[in-house]
Amino acid sequence: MLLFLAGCVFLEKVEQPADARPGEEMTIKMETRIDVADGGRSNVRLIIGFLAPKNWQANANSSITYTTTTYGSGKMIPVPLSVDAGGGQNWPAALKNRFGMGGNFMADDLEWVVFWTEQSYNVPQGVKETINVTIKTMPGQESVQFKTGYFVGTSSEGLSDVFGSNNVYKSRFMDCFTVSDGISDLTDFCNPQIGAVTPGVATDNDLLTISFDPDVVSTALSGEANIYFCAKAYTNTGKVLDVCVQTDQSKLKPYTGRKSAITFWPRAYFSMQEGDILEKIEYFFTDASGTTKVGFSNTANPFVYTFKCQ
Amino acid sequence: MKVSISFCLLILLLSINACKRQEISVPEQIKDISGEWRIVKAVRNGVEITTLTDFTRFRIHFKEGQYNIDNPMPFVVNKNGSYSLDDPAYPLRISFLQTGTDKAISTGFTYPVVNGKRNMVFSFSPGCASNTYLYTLERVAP
Repeated sequence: MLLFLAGCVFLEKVEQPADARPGEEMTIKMETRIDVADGGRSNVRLIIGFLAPKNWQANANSSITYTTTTYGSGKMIPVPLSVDAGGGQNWPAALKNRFGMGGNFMADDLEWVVFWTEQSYNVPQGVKETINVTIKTMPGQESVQFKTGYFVGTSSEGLSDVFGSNNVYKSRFMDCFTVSDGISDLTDFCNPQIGAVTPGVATDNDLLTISFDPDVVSTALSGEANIYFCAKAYTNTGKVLDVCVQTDQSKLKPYTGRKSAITFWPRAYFSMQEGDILEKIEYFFTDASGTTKVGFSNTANPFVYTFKCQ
Repeated sequence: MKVSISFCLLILLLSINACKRQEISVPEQIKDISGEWRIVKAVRNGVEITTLTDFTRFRIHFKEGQYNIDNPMPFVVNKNGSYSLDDPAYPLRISFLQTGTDKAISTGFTYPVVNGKRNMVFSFSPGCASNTYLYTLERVAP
């Protein structure tokens, strides 16, 4: 028999707006409840987490507050990365490991943003407390859609399953959430893409990985063993640098699962001159002959990647 | 009897002398980064990308305050020039001054020993500030 039960937590409700605008603050409300069934806890902090695109830099651009009926109110601050969530992992890594990224694609460009109460509390046995958390965060300037995700837990229990799974923490993933009218092409984390680019924001002096997923829809390249990258790059000086060749340089290498990808440094790949800056690239995937081409959404239009930072 | 007392005193004096503290100072070795280095591991935004593209041809040579790069990749600097360490024994930062520029680019680096080999680990953001790269360099055997 267990001598004590932990502080069970509940995620009763998440209210998020229907959509959001780039660069305009959005508010999310989480109704959480803690129920200390047996045995008190001292020095506990409530921990909440949410999924966000990395380029929102939500750790720095969010303000999170909470209210309770008997324990007052306060603000939450990012959990330092030095805090071990178990197994030597920091909280964002531990949440990614345990709960994943909510079925989002290109998950490397999303992150768990994890905050905890600035103050820690002693919660005696028998406490039942509703804690209302308000997250104000700022979407980036880009158009994006992703499936949102939320987490609630405590610093004392972490992700422990000693008392059965899902008792001392809760996570929830929700439907696709859209930030529209941004400065960029839509980055769609919700749906699998024939072609995807990592990182989501980059300049021509980053390393870009452009991947081809043969399993999204059947294309003219279905069954091709070797896929090649065919691209035009557009500079700020009006030059168009055309690199559509089928060589070892342009051949995609094995990537995750059945995907293949090319990783390259645009400045070198397009033999750029000093002083020129790339604004965008347009690209297709081709077979070894170069005659069979697959474009955006399996059309004859190219995929487009626009270079930008925040 | 007298002889043995003097003898004891002698031993005692010697013993006291023997206890005199002798400080041996071992100076921290000056970190020598000279030579030719290659990339053995590359990480972008926390994800390893070493096998995704060809990092094997990149070389950086350090010699007598000068460095030069063969087959450049996105790195702290791309053009040749001079370099300096902030501290010869305990370097935490390295400054690169590319030829033709007047502003040094300073970056933190670590100098761990891995499997008996000195590595240099650089963290930098050559493109967007939100993209961070971590390269581990290993000295190429001469």
